[in-house]
Amino acid sequence: MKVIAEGLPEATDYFGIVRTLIDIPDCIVVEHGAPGTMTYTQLSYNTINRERIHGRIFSSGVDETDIVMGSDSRLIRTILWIDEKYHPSAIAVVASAITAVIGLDVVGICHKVQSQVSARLIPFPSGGFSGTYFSGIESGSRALVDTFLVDRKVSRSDSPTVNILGPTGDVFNRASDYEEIRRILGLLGVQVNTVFPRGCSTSGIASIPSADLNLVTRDLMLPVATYIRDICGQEYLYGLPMGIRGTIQWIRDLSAHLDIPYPEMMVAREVASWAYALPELFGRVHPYEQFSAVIAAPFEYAYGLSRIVTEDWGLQVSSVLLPEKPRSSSYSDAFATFGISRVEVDLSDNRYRDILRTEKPTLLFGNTYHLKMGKQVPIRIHAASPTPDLITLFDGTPYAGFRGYAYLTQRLVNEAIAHPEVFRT
Amino acid sequence: MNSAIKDLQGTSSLCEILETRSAGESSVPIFPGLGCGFFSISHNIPAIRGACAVMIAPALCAYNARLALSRWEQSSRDIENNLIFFLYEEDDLIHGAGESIRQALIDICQRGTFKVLFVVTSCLPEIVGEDVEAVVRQLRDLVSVPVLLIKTENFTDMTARLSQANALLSFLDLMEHPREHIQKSVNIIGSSARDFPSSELSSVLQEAGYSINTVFPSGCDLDRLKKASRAEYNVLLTRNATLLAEKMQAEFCIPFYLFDAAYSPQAISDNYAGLGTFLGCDLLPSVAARKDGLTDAIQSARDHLEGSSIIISLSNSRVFDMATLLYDVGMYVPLIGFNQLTTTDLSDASRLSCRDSEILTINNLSISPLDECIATIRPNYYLSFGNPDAIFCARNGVRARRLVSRPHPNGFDAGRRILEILSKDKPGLSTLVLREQMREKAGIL
Repeated sequence: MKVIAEGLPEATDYFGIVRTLIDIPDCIVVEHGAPGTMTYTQLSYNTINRERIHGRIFSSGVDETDIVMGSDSRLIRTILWIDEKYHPSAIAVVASAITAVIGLDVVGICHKVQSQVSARLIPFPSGGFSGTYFSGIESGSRALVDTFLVDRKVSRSDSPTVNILGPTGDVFNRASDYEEIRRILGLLGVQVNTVFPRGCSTSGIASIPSADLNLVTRDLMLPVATYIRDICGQEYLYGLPMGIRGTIQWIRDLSAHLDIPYPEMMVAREVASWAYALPELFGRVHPYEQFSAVIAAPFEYAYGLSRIVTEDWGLQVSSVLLPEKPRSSSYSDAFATFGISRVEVDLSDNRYRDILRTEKPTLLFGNTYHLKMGKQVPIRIHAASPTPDLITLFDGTPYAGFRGYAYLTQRLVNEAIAHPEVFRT
Repeated sequence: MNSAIKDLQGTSSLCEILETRSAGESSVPIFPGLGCGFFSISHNIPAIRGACAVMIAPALCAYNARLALSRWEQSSRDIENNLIFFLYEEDDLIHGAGESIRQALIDICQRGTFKVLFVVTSCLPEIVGEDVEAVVRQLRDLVSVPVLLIKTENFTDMTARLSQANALLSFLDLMEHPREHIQKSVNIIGSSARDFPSSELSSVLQEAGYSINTVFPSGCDLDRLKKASRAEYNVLLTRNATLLAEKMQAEFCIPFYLFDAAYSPQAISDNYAGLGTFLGCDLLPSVAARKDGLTDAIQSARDHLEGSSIIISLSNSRVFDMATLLYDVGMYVPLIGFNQLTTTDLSDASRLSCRDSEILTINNLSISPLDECIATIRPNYYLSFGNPDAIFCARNGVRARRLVSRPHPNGFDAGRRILEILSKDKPGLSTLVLREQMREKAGIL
C-alpha cells in the first residue's frame, strides 16, 4: 500500500489504455464497472485538455447484483447498444478495478459477442493492475495496430512521406509541439501521412504502410514501431527535435533516413531567425551563469530540455526525474553526455522534496504537482502532463523545434526578470 | 411535438410516472453518470476546515479524485487539499491491508495537526471485504483526534446520494450528548456555513427570533459541530441529511424539518408554512414581501421567456416544482430529466400534471437519450445542474443554462435565481454559438 499525501497518484495502465482509445474517432470505449469511475475519468480527461468526449465512452453500470452473480448481461447489452446506435469500427472493452478483481472474463465475453456486432471488439481486462500509464498507452496502441493494420504491403508515394507515432491526447503541449514538427517537415518538403494514435481513425491506421518512414516521438511507441517494421519492413526514426542543436541533429538524421539532401540553407535560415542567445537577452546587471535546473518530465522531454539547458543555454541541470523507466537501458548515459549524473525514476514525494531542498535549483520543469510541491523554486515552468492549471490548446507556444527553443529562451528571460532574486544568489 | 419524441428510448409520460411511482431504469449505457460517493466526498471534505481525509482506493480512483480536486482548488470554492490517498494495490487484495492501514493511520495521526480524521473507503476494499471498520474502531482507542468512517461504494448506489448521507451520518460520532437544548435554536444541515448567514432562510429564522446553532457540512466549524446536539431543531436543506436527522432525533430528541428546495411561489409558501408549524410560529407574514418579490420577478421574466420551451434535468431536487415555476412564467416544458422520486416529488408531479398532462419524463442517469430528445425537440432552453454540453446545445440552437451550486439560495431567492439564470446568456456564449455555426457551415464537426 502506497501513501500519497501531496503528489499525484500514479495513472495506471487503465488511463493509458482509455486515453489512447478515446482518441480514435471511430472507436468507442466501454468501461465495465460501476459508473463513477467513468464519470470521473471523463472529467479528468476534460480537466487535462478541455475536450468533450460525449459519445466516446460509456459505462456498463454494474451494480451489486452483477458483482455477486458475476453477471455479464449489462456488458453485453452495452456493447450491442453501442454497435447498433453508433456503428463504430471498434469498441474497446476496458475492465475497471472492481470487475478485474472479481475476475469477470472480459476477453471471453468479447469473443462470445463478436459475431453479433459489426465493430471489432478489443478487450482490456487488467483493471489498472497490469502496469504503468505508459505501458497502457503501449498496449492500447499495439492492440489497435494489431487489429487494423491489415494490408501490410508498403505502397509509397513519390514525395517523401512520414507517419508520426507518439502523440496521445494528454501529451504536454501537444498542439504547439506537433504543429512545429509539421512546420519543419513542411520546410523539408516531407508530407505527413498518419499521426498515431491521437485523432487517427482506423483507416488512418490501415494506411500507415504507405509512408516512407515512421517518426517515433515517444519511446513508449518503440514496440509498435518495431512491430510495424517487422511486418511491413517500414523503418523508424526515434527522437523529439528539441533545442537548436537537437533539432539540427534530428533534421540531419531524418534527411539520411529519407535519403534526401540535408537542407543546409533552410537550417541556416531557421537558426538565424530563432537562435536567441542568453548573453544578448540578459543585461550586464543580470548575472545568470549560476542558474541550474531540475527537470521532472517523461524521457523525451527531459532529454530535450536537458539539451536546451546545457548545450544551448550553457547552464547546468542538477537532476533529471523521470516518471517511468525509459525503454532504453542506456538512458543514464544519454543524460551523462550533458554532464547530468543524477537521474532518478518514479521517486516518492519525500525524495522529490529532498532533492529540491538540497539542490536549490533556479529553474524547475515539471507537471502541476511537481511545480506545486516546489513552490520555493523561483522559476517554475510546466513541462509535463497533467497540468490542470494550464491550458495548452493554442498551437503557438512550442517547446519543440527551432521555434520551441526561441519560445523557451524568451520565457526563461521573462521569468528571471520577474523574479530578480535569482540574480542575487 | 410530443409524438415525434414519444418513440424515443426511455421516455415516459408524467401520468405514467404518477401511476408507477418510479423513476424507471435507464435503458442505455451510462454517460456521464450522476457521480459517485468517493469523488463526491473527495471534494466535500476539503471544504471542512481542520479536517483530514484518508481515502482508501485503487490508484485509478485516487488519480481521478486528485485531478478533480485540483480543478476544484482553482474554483470559487474555498477548499484546501486535505486528502491523503492510501493506494490499494494488488498485494493488498491478496493479503489484506488491515495492518498497513492501521499503521499508516497511526503515523498520520501522530504527525498531523488536524482536528478530525475521516477514513473513506471505496468500491474495491468493500468488495474484497477489507474490515476498515474494525481498524477505525481500534484506532479510536489509540489516537486523540476523532476518527470517522465513511463508506462510498458506488455499486450499491449509482449516484453519490447514499455516500453523502453516510458522510453526514458520520458527523454523529462527533456530537456531544447535550445536557439541555438551547431554546429557539436551529441547526442547518446541508449548507455552507459561509454562505448560509446571508441567505433568505437565515434572515427569516432570525427575524422570527430563532438563533442559528450550527451550519454544516461545508465550511463548518468543528467545535460548533460538537455542540450541534444542543440545538432545539434541525432544518435540513438537503434530502441526503434525512438519515442523520433521524438518528439525531432518536439520540438527542431533536425533531427535524426538510426545507426541500422549492422554486414555485406556492411551494415555497407551503415550505415556510410547514416550517412555521414545525417551529410553532407563523412565518408567512414575514415572508409575504419576499413572495411578492418573486411574483414581480415572474411578471418581468414573462417579457422575454413567455412562449419559449425548455427542457430541465436535475438529479436531486424538486424538478417538477421547478417546472411549475416555468409554467408560471408562461414557458412550455416538453421533457423533464430526473432520477429521484420522493413523496414530495410525486405531489409536485401531480400538481404539474394539472397544468400539462402531456409532459414527458426521462431517467437522466445517462445523458445519451436525453441528448437525443434535445436534438429532436430543439427547445429554446436546456437547464441542468450538471455541466450541460454547451457545444451540443449550440449546434442544436439550444441555449444551455447551468444551475450553479454556490452560493445556493433558498426560499423565494431560489425561484428568483432560476429566472435570472434563464434571463441572460453567459458572457461569451454567443461566440461559442457563432463558432459552432461556422463549423457546421464548413463541415467541421
